[in-house]
Amino acid sequence: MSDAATPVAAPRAVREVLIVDDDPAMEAEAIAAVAVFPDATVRTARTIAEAERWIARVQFDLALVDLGLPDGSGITLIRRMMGDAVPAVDVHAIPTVCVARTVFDDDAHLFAALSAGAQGYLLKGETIEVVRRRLQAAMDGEPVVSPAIARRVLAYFRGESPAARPSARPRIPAAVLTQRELDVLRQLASGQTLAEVGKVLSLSVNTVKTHVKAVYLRLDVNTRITAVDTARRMGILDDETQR
Amino acid sequence: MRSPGLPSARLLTAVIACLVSAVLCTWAVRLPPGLGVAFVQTSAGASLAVDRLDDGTNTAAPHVGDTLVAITAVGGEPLALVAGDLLEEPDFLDTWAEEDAFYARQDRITAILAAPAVTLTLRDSLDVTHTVTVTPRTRPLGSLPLIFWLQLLFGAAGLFIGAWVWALRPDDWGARAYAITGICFLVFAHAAAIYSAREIALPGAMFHWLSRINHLGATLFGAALCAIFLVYPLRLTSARAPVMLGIVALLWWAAGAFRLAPDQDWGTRFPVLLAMLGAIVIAVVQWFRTRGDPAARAILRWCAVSVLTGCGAFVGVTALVSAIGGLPPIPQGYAFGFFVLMYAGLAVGLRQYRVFDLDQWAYRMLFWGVIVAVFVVVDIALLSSASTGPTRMLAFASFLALGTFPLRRWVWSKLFQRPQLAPEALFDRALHVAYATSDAERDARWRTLLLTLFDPLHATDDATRATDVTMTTQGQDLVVPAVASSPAIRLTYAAGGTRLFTPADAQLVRTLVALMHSAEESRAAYDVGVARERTRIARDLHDTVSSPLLAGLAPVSGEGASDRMAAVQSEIRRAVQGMRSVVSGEAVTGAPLADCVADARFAAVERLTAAGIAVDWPIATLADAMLGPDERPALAAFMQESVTNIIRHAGARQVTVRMQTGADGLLVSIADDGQGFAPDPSRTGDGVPNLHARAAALGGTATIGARLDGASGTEVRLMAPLALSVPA
Repeated sequence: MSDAATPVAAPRAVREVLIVDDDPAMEAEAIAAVAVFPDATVRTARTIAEAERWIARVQFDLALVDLGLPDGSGITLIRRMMGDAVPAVDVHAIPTVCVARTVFDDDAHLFAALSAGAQGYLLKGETIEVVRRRLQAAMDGEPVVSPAIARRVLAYFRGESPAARPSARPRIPAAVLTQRELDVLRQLASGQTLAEVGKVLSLSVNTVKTHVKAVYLRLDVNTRITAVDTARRMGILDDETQR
Repeated sequence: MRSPGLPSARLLTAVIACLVSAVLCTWAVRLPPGLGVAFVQTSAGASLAVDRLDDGTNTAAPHVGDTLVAITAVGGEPLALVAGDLLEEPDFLDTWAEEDAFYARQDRITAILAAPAVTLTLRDSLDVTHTVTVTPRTRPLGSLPLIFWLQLLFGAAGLFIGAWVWALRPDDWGARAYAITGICFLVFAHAAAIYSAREIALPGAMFHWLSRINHLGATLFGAALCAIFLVYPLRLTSARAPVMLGIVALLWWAAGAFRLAPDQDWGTRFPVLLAMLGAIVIAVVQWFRTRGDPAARAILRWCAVSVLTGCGAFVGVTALVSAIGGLPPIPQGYAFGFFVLMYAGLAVGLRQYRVFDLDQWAYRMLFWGVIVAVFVVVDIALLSSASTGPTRMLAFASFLALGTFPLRRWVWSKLFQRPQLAPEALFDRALHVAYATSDAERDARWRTLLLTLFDPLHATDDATRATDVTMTTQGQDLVVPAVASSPAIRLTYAAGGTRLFTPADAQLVRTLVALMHSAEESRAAYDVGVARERTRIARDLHDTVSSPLLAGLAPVSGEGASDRMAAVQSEIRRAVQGMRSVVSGEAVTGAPLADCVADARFAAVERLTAAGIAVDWPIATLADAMLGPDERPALAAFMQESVTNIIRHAGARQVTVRMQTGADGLLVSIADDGQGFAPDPSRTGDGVPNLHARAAALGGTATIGARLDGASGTEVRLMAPLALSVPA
């Protein structure tokens, strides 16, 4: 991703915001949270189809996407907005900053969102201050980080995460991470912020962010999570077949 | 001792025997040359009327309806013919003398017909006598009467059905006796077919022997009938009795055949009638002996009805009628059809009554045999109808073989070949069996797998409790030991009865059984795991989700309601977090202390920095300890609420956090440089009671007060004992 490689100079203005969530209460919470951007026009959608109609018409700066939508996985939507089908509105437009929201805290959902290019990952039920801080951080070009995520990403690349181990997939050797990337992840896992990691490793904050984003893009689990979500929604995957 | 061998081979033998017999009969009946005319007996004037002209090759042919008065060989004496010359069955003659006279006339007629040309003296319907000279020739196949073919077919059907039962139950005495009746039936029906299909005459000696063969078949048939009821459904006697019966029947037959008996009655009719009566008597004995055994009695009833209807109807219309001196109302050849009823009855009732322990599966073998017979008969019919010389016959045969072979193979494969299971699919199939949800389903899948693999004619539960795969009777049966939900299963007759089980089959089943056992074990472990996991989730949900939710339910009113609201929200958040930890399984494994501290540090630094407060929190090396499902959220909440207090109330600019682990457990110190702490009992919103509660949840204590180092500000301290694990 080009924006991952180039440092973001100034905080980006937030004018158009898309909120995709089928739960009215969660939608209201999201609207309350994005009030932190006073200039923003907020559009809402309850389904992927509805959201796609918005995307075709409007160039969004920020999108809050629920991962479990009635007609599919929000991952599909995030991938679309992040590049594989940029709307014809403006081909030179800066991609929308996407923030995934979900009830689920499992690796499959997290990694799918991160590898699809989501800048943020919000667990439903966080306080509004936390949500606002994450949104701000996302708009500032900060990748979503936490010690827990760093631990799970490390486990994934060691082949310990269940998401890294679908039956047919060979184990992913840690070698695919560079030494620097490993250092960054380990520091984050010990509970330090991006700025602190930069200080410890004598790197600029932007370089640390770049490393983190590069790692996230290699969490290639999107097709799987989309398939699993779709199947679960269609009732194909029930308890019996999951065995 | 069970007989080895394939049912298909046995049945094929029977089919071949039927065909050989039919071919022999057809050859024999065409030995004497024919006139190309069919005659019927007329009662008026006891003469022969021309019934049918077989072909137009004899130019000066008689007319239908003419009466044949006499035949004369060229240059010989005329012989006047009588209706008695067409007698279908010499048994109807009462004395040996009559019989001999009959054979003598047959000889004379045969001699005349052997001449190169024969003059027929005919009388037409206007009583005008005229003569026609014809050349006797070999009778064309097409000219043989229907009654001939019918008798061949009846005899073949009897033997075929008898052999079918025996092919599947070669060791069952009842089935053996039954099959013997089939052989006897074929013998007497086919012998009768020859002489009943003669034009006028056969050589006397040949006729006499055919009649003897017919008697032999009938007498032994009667004995075999008695033998059936002696051993089936219940064994009434030892195996010696039926054998003795057979010997007596043979002797009696010899007495009749060689004229030691006074007359036809004693020589041929009585033994057959006696055997019939004997069969009835023995069936009645069976009836009494089978009381209290409804299954056996049902079989007996069905067998007796089939047998007695078939034989009784035949005897009724032939032997009995002739014994009281009249002519049979229908030709004996057609009456043989009654015996076929007896065999058909058994074939039909077999499934309902499980006669000879056979069931529906047996029909597959019957079907197989019928198709084989049809193929062969069609070939023979095509060959004989389309060819005259040996060269043409050979050419036609090769055309038949090459031209119809692919078609035949296709039909065959459609009818009998089952799809084969590739070895690599075996493993999947075994797992498919092992992972069925219910015992019944697993049992059904296992059976299906065995049937798919070996396509046995028959599969039954085996009571022997075999523990290893065993082959019995040289490959006729394969016994599969009990596996998981299925009992031991005995497979009989591989590949629809067309092959024997081989040691390779046994090895394959052994592998499968081993595979099933290990799959079963892992499935059992899996089931245990699922049950345990379910229990865990139930318990954890109760501990981690219900309790904070219930705490949030406490009534909110009066002063501090908004603080209380915030507390409720925090409880609900705890519940949601608890739910996540339950789902992730962390609730049961616990979490490393270092991870909990890292999370707490990250959250605290993030929040304090956002609030403009500097943080001094070096990353310390802590002991390897695990926090339990209750301890982890307690520690997180303790840290979070301490930070909240600092942001809300302290007015601090810097926070110093120190953590260490030692013999006392975990020590945490959170010190700020704010305005200091003054406990105020009127306020409840400062979270002080909460901090004590969290510390209690960790099994420790919290102190809140002035900084220990004397600097201004507040210090929160936590001391919690931890289950420390020794670093490896």
